[in-house]
Amino acid sequence: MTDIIRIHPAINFARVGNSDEYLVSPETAAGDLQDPNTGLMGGLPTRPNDGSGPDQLIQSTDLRDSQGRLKRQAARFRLYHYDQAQNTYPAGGGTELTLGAQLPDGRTVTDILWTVHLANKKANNFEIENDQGEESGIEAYQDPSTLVLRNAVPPPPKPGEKPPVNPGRFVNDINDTTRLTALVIDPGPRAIKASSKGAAPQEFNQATPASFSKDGQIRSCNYPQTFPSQNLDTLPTVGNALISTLGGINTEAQSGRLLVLPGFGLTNGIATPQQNGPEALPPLEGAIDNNNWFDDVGDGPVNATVLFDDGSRIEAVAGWVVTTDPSYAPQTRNVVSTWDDVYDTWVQQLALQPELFRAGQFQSSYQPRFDSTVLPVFHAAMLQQWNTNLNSTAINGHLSVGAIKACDDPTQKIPNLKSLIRDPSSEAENSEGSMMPLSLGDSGKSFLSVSPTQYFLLNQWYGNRFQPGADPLGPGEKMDRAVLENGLGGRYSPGIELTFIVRDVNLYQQNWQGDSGPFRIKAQPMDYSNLPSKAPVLSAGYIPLGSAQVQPGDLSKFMALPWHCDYNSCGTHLPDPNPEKAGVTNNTLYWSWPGQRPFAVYPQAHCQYNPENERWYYGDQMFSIRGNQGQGTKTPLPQQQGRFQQYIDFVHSWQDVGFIIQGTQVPVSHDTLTPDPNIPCAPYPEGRGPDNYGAGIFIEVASHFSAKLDDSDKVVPWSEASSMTKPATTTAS
Amino acid sequence: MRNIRYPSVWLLCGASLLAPAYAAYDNLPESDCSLTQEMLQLATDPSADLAKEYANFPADPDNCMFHQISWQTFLWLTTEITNAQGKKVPRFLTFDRPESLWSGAPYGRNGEFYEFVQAGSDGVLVDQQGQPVYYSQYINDTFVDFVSGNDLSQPGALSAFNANTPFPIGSMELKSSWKVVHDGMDTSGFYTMKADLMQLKNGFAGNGTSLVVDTSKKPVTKEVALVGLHIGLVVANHPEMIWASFEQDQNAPVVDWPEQGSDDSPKLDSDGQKATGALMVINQDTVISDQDWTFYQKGTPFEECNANQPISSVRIDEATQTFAQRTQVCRLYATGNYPYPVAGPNQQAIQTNDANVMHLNDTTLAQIKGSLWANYFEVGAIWFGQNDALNPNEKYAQDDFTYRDPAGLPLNGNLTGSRMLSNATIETYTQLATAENNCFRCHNTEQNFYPPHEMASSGETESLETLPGKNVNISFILRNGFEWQQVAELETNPKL
Repeated sequence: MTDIIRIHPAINFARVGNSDEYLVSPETAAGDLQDPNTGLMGGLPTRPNDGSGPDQLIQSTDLRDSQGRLKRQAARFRLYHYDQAQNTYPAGGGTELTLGAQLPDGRTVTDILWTVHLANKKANNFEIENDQGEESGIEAYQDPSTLVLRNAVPPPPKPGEKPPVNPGRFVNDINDTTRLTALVIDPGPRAIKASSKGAAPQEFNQATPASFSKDGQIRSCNYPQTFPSQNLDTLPTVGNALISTLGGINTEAQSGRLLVLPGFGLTNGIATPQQNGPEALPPLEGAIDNNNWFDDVGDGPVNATVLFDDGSRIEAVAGWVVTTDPSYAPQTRNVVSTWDDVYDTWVQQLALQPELFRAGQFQSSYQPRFDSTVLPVFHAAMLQQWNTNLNSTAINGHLSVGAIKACDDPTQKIPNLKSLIRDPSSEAENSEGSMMPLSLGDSGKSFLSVSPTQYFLLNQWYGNRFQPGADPLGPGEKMDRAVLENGLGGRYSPGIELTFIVRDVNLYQQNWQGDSGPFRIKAQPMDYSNLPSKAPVLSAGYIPLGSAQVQPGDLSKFMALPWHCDYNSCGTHLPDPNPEKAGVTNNTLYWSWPGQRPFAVYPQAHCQYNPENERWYYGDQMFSIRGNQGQGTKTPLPQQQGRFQQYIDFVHSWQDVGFIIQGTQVPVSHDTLTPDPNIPCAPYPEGRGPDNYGAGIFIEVASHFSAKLDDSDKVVPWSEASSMTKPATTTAS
Repeated sequence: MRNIRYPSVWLLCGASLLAPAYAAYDNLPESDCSLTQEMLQLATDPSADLAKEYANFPADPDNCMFHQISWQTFLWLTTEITNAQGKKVPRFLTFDRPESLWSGAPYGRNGEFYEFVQAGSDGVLVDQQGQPVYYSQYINDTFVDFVSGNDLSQPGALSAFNANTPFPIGSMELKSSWKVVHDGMDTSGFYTMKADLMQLKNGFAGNGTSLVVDTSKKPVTKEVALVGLHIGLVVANHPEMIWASFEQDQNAPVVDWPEQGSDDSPKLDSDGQKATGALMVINQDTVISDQDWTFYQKGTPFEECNANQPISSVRIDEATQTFAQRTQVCRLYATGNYPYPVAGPNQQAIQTNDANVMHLNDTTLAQIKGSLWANYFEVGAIWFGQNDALNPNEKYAQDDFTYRDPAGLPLNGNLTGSRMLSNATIETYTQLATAENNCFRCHNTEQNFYPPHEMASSGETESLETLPGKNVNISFILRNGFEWQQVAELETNPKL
């Protein structure tokens, strides 16, 4: 009998909020039908749980605390026991181990010692744009000379060149001690005992000593913590909130499962001298790479030691946690999710399923399961309407494919799959602005493509080489997948949760057969019992295409700095590249990340009740990001709509964005009836009618932005850039 | 600078001196494109038809010939003949409405007008009195006989129909647009008639609010004025149809693009910030016209032109059947083409096309001076630059495409003529959108998907069949009928 304990999910996401309170990040996947009777889709967070009973899904009223602050979402980790090594994927099996659980040999779990180490290395990483100002993703790392280090003092401007507005102030060496000390946020590890029953949360702040588990005990250590305000004159953007924590860890009292809480969505800037007046925040000029700025996300390894009543202990296979942006549309699946990219990488490069891909080829004998591989693509298409301003033709098409069932004849439902779905291997189809998916593409590609594995599996279905039902996953495997299915994939510019590094085999522990199982990060072993006295512990760490092991902070460091800017800007854009065809370029505005960054939404306040059939309908569509805060969101240029015109205003307002959730989770009350006098409001009969908005609509709730139509630019279906206009202010005569 | 002498409101105002000058059209070549007297006579003879002209359309036509046949067809369609009731009406009004061929058509089978939504944009066009513009479609006998003879109104038959078979030569489908005549309106330049208008209401469609037909009310008979006419016409070698569009000349002003090279900030990058290349820029506060038009209030700046009013959000006053908002319509491209020479091999063809449209309009309007129809003009026409290049499963998202000849060899094809052709009253809101800015962007031969149908009786949803890609999908009449009939059959015989 083999005893292997693995932490699941292998990778999990915690999501920032500005409240002390929290929800639990979703462990079901967006777009997965949870209940055929109610039509409930997966992807919803759950309420905090002590582990003694089943999870409860959130309702719209759970998203904010009593003061209206956005609740954080904790990443929950569990332990699963396996009685044999893993040689195939999926392997199934696995039994959850909670406090008091018994192994097959009779040993009882008496305690779980969790250790987590979060760090934020964003300010000491390379820019996403190379030295030519282009986003080239992972390809940039094939020639390190093209990489530009964030916060490095720029070379002197060439004659006629303007100096940068916001130059870096540090040497151009990623392993320079000054940089590592000043620019890396590293609170060190924190450990917690499950037997403390949730009573001893550990914060990743300066006030809490670092601690770790070793030899079955939790030990404290004198870790050389680094926070920006220790070494730099930093300024807050909100109140006096300097970044003093990256979050914390706790356990569920009864189960002993781990909860990793993220930071609070803060941003700080290094004080910048002004010509006239006191020091001020540095400018926020770019969507992705801003020198002299910090945010409070991070990532790092999750380890556990399981203690048994006979005095024995087992070290669990480690997981990894990433703290990241809120997921404002948690039930809208991305057509290409993080999972789809991770899975594609493992299938094609790491021999995950030789029956699917071997010897450099997909295997035509492989029969995918419909619910796990085909239906998610169609459901993702169907759900895009809730976050985008598609026209009725597009919505109708999406609804049509969203209704496809395993028992349908594929060629009846989609007479021509080839002309519908963009072939990821076709250069010509990269710029084909009428194939699906019709959102913007990855670096160097005009439009998004499904992954090669997704494309192959879709075609297997189309050729009637598939099976009904879902993959036979074990509960831990299911969680590994579901969490990544809730992340953004495909378009890594750089993305929301993770970026192009998920396609780099060097990120992973490649020898997955045996104890570890797949999808594990190739973590650098950390010896906290033998630390340097003052020197920074973390260094450059993982660099894409390189062999270095992965340190805390090495996943999130590739994301935008601060993340708020990229989120704000990634509404709609023109294709890039936008090839000229017959002398004309495409002026249609397409969506960046419609599943993960809602663009146009249906506010709850505009929903209308139809007493004839006792059903709720969505009403006017508005931009998800709207309103007059700061310099506001309004603009005469459609290509700039649905975002704040100045990044700093979104830094202040990110927590005001509403969530798009299914109507079943939105209780009906008289308060929610439309406030718009222009909309004839059908009276909602007292004590009658449904008590929620129903499964048929996904509406925006809990937004702090105005729902008054005058306070927003008008949303129209499928708009185009006003490439032939310029603002009135430029009029000369 | 070239003076565009139509729309004729300027002519009525007396003179080319008052006509705006269009710098952007300065460099067009000379054209002698016009209708011969013989052509004119044939087109306006109530007893004649153009069948021979369609059948004998030359295999190597020049650009002018497409516009000539379009203008001839317009005149032929508007020539008055006696209808079944013994009344003299423009010929096209004696044609069948598509709804007559589909027993499942939800409305329109008694001739009432019910269409008010523009394709692609989901927008409603609101006139300066706050009234919605209505649309009605017509099909000629050749079209009707083809559909009936092949039973294409039945979903099963259409689904199984040979994908490569096109509409026969002479097939014609028309879409007309109608403004409701308001009190005090000078209708002297319009063809007007009485029409039964379905009333509209603020209701629900799918899962959301929508402007919908009010089925609880009887149609109201009102005077309507013809403001636009689309003609889709099959001639020899052109199964894709020549798509020509005509408008009443008081509809909307033409945007006066600045002279080429006079501006420095054209084509935009993905952030909409930087720009290079050939696109021109017009200031948002540029007033497009200092005169009132049917769908434009004088003094309206460019930034308020063509602002979409989607049916999902626009609200109607149900009692008066009017909207609070008005649409300010501006015609972006006078001849259905970008007003400047563009790069590439098509430059000469485009400029020739624009010159031909202008000259043909000028000369034809002079030839029919005094006729009611001299108040209408051809905006432009678009077709394939190659003969018999229509293939199933093609989308014409770009102007250049690849098609296969009968031997299966791939050949390069292209859309030609007026490649940004929009009717300002039928495609008001998509004039600028490169993905939707000509007829073939939507009229293609692709498969057509339909949303699941919600059963009236049970509220349960039933999937509809998808229409496979085929040559006859070039007509949305068939595509729409495919859905109508499936829905009607489901409602009649619900699945157990």
